[in-house]
Amino acid sequence: MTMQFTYVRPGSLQDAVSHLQSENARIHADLCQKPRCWYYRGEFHCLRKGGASCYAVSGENQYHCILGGQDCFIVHPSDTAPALLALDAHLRVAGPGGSRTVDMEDFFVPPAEDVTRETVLEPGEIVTEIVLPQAAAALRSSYRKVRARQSWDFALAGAALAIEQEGGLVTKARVVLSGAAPVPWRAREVEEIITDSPLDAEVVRRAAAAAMAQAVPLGKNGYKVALFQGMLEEELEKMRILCWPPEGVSQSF
Amino acid sequence: MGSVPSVVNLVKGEMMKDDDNDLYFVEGIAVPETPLPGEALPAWRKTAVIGGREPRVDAYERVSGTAVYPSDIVLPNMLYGALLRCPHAHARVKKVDVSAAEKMDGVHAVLTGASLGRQVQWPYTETVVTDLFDAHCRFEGEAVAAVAAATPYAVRDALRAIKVEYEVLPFVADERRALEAGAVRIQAEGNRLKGETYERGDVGKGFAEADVVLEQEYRTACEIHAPMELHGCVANWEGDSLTIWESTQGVYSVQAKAAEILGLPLSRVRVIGHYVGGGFGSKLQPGKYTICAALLARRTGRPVKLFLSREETMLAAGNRPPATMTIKAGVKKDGVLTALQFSGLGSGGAYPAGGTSLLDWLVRDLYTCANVKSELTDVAINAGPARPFRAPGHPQCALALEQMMDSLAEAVGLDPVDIRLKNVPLVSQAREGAPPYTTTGLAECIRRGAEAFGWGEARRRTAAARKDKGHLKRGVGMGSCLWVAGGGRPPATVIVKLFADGSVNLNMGASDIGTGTKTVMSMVLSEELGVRPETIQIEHADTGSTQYATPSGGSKTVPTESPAVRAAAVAVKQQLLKMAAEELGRPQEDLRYTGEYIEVAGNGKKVKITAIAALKRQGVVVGIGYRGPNPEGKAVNPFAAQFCEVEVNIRTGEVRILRFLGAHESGRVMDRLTFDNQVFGGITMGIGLGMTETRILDGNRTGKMVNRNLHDYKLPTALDVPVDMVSLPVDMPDAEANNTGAKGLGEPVTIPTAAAIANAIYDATGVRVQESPADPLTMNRLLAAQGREGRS
Ligand SMILES: Cc1cc2nc3c(=O)[nH]c(=O)nc-3n(C[C@H](O)[C@H](O)[C@H](O)COP(=O)(O)OP(=O)(O)OC[C@H]3O[C@@H](n4cnc5c(N)ncnc54)[C@H](O)[C@@H]3O)c2cc1C
Ligand code: SF4
Repeated sequence: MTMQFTYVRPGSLQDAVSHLQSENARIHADLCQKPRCWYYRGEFHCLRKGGASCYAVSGENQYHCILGGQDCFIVHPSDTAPALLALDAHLRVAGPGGSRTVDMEDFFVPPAEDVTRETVLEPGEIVTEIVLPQAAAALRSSYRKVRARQSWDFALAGAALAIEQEGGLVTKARVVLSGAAPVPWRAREVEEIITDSPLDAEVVRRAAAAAMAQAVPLGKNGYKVALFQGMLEEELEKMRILCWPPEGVSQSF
Repeated sequence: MGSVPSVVNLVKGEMMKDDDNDLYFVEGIAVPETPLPGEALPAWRKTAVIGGREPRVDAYERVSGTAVYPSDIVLPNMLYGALLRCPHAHARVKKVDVSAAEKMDGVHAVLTGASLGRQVQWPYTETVVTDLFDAHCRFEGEAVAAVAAATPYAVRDALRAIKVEYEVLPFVADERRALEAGAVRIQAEGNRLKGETYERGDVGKGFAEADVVLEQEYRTACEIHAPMELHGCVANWEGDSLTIWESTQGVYSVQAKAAEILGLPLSRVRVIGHYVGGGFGSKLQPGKYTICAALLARRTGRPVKLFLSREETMLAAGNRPPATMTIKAGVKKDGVLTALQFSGLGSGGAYPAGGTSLLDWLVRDLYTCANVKSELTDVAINAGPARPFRAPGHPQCALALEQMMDSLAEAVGLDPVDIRLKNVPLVSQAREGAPPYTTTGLAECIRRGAEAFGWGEARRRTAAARKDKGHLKRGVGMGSCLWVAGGGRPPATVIVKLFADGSVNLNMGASDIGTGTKTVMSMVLSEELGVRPETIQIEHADTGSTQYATPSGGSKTVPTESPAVRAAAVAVKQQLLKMAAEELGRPQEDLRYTGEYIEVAGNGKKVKITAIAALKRQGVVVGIGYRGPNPEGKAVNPFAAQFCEVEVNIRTGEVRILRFLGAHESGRVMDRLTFDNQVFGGITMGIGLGMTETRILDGNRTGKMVNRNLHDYKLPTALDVPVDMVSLPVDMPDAEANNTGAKGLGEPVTIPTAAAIANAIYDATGVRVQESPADPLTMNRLLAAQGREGRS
């Protein structure tokens, strides 16, 4: 018997979610993939593998993190995890000791907490469900990914945006970066700046700059600062257009 | 007749008329006149088959999976071989303990430096010769031991069980640091392996005469060979005779080196390589793997299959060396070049391996310039040895020279097309005596390419859009080139047999490395003999049963082999005409070979080829063809110009290539399909150099290659290559070059690609990309340096 697969390229996070509602739909959530760091995957006994030090910090770190690094400087490889975090998902986790619910926010373990683990899963535990809240009608969402080649590549920089607007102002925003940090990274500075504001050019510029305010580039990944800033500007501007026309503006033209 | 060919019909899935003449001959085909024996072959005039679109004669085998590549070979009792490789960039082997490995289940033989000693030597070059397992490992991936075991798993387990004690040595990973004081010495005589200088005219005078002088620095990253089929072979002994099935571009070069190293007569080494899944220069020679397979097979008395893993090929099966270049150029206001000065530093790894091979050739020879000076320095670093990589040196040099040409054009207010047209040479200035080119299509490629691309209109459009505030910027760019070789040369010997039923067999030693050699040669036979290309049986790439041939490389296979094939076909025709002349009692001059028949001029009398009594009696006519010499005092080179359009997102540094056009002059277009395949493939590979590929060594701490897998080493994917690609052949049969008028194409197709992209990026953004690859890492850095406001 041959299996038939249909791959879809969703236009937004909600679009992706709606595809998942069809029968037999599957998503590779990529919540638990081990780090892509080439030292970690290669013949290097680095800190995360129980070795004495991180090879990346002073080595070939062009694909490593600019935010949230401490001792270890991986980026979280997933495209879906930031999207799920932006949609405020939580996870059902089951193991020998029973099952529990974990907020996406708390699922990933940054190196500052424990450099040898990536998630809060205990030995024997697996993720059994991803639960998404009902989306508000005003929600607009997107996922953008910049990579070194157009297919078969992880994000150099990515962003998942879930934004609600009303009357030309942002009422609710979740912005999560991929390719930036060891875990899917809430860009809270961006969320704060755009909330209760219009997504005008000035706000967009300020928000994108704020996202990178705390960035600490390593020797070879300084390019990511400009890249994230540019990408966030572009994505936030698109959001403004996605939410057009703002409430109260006549659609009759 | 009928039953055997009908099987052929079934396989090919086509119907043929039940007329035996139609089985092998094309009805009504106009074959060229047959010269009398001893007369020179005139150039083809109008061709019936050549220049058409002939699908690969082995297309069915290749796509159906029935083609047997060397890596598909499985022999009875076969063992699997593998090499243990040094995991350090630079180390000395102190001790190798194989005791545990030898005791493992399924392990049949373990070879080490201690067990082999000085018995087997590996010639890295003619003069640099080491033990096969040299204790001094100068690069990560150097061979330390070899194992043969019953299964691929057992052999890898055994490798893991071998304990090696290394003294880890300091390393140099970057050619720019190889000559620093205090850099570790990799070769006994130091890290400077070779210096080369070239000078003509007086560059000082040339710069003084110039209205504009510019100087720029460039660096291209190291590219790794990544052919689809891995490197390796199957080796088998029968008595004292060795047979090797190797994935190779040249069976005779594998035979020569294997025989030399193993101390065997050439006659006892048979190398077979009917199919090869890509080579690109990395399979012109055998590797240590070939020798190890032969030794393991000898030791165990069983066939041994030894193919590398992808990771191993990335370390030890060759690369395009990184190049650091400086170029200085002077130009007059009218666009005439007055001086070119170039210096290049490169490294082919830990051994002399052509680290700066041909790196300055385009500077020396592409454009008319009286005053040229260049200096090349090849240094050793602790990395895998280079192997020739499609057009060695040229694409790197093009990135520098072609961007310089655009910079000069801008400085004097000329269009990039016009400045190049101002400097088109008719002679090869860099060769002794400045011989004229037999033909040069450089100007035609530039002119016709620009026209077909819509260059003038596109330049006006991108210039007008520069004022726009948007962050998506369009740009167009071009690059032109020649390729230093591509004329082909002797020797080549080809045998064509025409059997009593009219069916034909072609026997040649050359490999078809995927470029369509077999197809093109079938077309030559079809053109001359009037036979159907798909019915020709081809024997090739086997030192035991086919004729001597040089390896398929240097874009020389078509211009080397096709004239010999044509000569062999003509020899067949001449013999048939002689037979017919005797039977018909007419002088040979009165007869004409027309394919199915030999006709008597004037009176309409004719005899079927298959009805010639002497042919029936003899069973076969054997024609032998040799490649004649190249024209004296002339240079034979192919030329090209490529054009592209890009879109750059100046916020994210993403570059999208929107379209490409390759205008190529390679003499006569033999098969339009294989021609276009080369152009598209070459552009794709050039996009790899320009946009995605770079070997990354852990320069600070270990010197090890960190991206040695197909995910982290980024070959372009289908999405990185534009759908809109156009091949524009500039068909200029070169009657002086050889009797088919063809020049080579396989390498020029990848030379100007990265340069054209870089020029397009400049047109879009005002940023000069003086390094490869132009990925978002590089682009964001350069755009940030330029300032977020865009071009000044
Ligand atoms: C060549 C290549 C390119 C890729 N590119 C991208 C990319 O660009 N972006 C991206 O996001 N991903 C990328 N991926 C990763 C891909 O998305 C993941 O491999 C996939 O999502 C994993 O899903 P799977 O079902 O195949 O998991 P598996 O391969 O089965 O598992 C992956 C990991 O998760 C663990 N795991 C699996 N299921 C559970 C569970 N229920 N609970 C707890 N742990 C679990 C496994 O133990 C394992 O460690 C790429 C993968 C490959 C091979
Ligand atoms: S970044 Fe983390 S995984 Fe990579 S080398 Fe450093 S410690 Fe190891």
